[in-house]
Amino acid sequence: MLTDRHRIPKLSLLVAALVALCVWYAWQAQHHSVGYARCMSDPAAYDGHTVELALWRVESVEPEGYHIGGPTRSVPVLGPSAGLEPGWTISVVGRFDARQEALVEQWREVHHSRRHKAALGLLGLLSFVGYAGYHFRWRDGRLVLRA
Amino acid sequence: MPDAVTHLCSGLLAHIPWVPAAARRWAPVFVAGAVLPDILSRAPSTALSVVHSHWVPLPSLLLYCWGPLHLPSGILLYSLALTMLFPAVQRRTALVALLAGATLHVLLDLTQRHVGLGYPLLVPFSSRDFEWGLVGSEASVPWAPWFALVTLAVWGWLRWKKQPSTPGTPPEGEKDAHRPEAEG
Repeated sequence: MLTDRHRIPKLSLLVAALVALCVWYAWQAQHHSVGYARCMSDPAAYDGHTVELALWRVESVEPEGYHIGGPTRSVPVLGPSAGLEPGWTISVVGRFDARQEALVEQWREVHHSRRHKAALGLLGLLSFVGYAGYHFRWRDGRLVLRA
Repeated sequence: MPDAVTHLCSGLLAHIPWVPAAARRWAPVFVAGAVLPDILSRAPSTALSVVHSHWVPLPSLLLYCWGPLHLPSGILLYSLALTMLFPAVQRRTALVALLAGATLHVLLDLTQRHVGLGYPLLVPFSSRDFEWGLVGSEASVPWAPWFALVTLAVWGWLRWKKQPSTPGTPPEGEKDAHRPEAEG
């Protein structure tokens, strides 16, 4: 497996397998996991279903609840909104209410340090790029460690 | 999961007690293994989500496809692929170093608590998720700067220790460091 025999075909196969895995994963996430979108596709069938939304941004706050936004949609959540502010990152577990087409909050966590974590993520990425640039070289078609 | 700085520092420090000084030249590969799960999965996912939210609508496939690069099945595949870029005689060592670093990354991530959503470690064979839930998902943030300072101090000390005390003598731990590339 790790020899130079048929190196390019082996590398191509590995990359193809990885791409296939990622595509499959995305398809599963969209068609088999039960999120708000799935509940809204058939509200009666999913009434009472528990939905977990991790790391969504508070878009707006209303007296009876709030709206949170994710990568592809906005979700209304019914629950205590005192102290919440737009722009905050929160995770919510809620029960889908078909009549109100909203989630009824059961539990939530506010991620106050999310922005700091994102900044550390960027710093870590840049640091690693510099570190890798120092320690790795491309020589004669191979990746080698700096002597 | 811990932040990227914590993963980077953990990679830089974790191998030191276990790896002899002469083999420490492979540390960058171990560090790469410890950081790549986040760089290859979280970074593009986050960047594309920002693009989708603020500028250009993107296909859902592009937003949700990055997960396996943070899970054992994807880690194994890309580690094997990266290994194929090394000289043939070094691939076994490179693969071991990459996977060891990735194992450290996953173990650190499993300590965290996410809202009912752990890591589906057995994808594509099972969607069951796991996590130990010991600390919050931002628990590492206050400690990261101190961890970085400790890491810099340790590596600074290791570098200073490697300097020869008298001219002409090889640095400590370097006597057999210059082994030919014919190592497995």
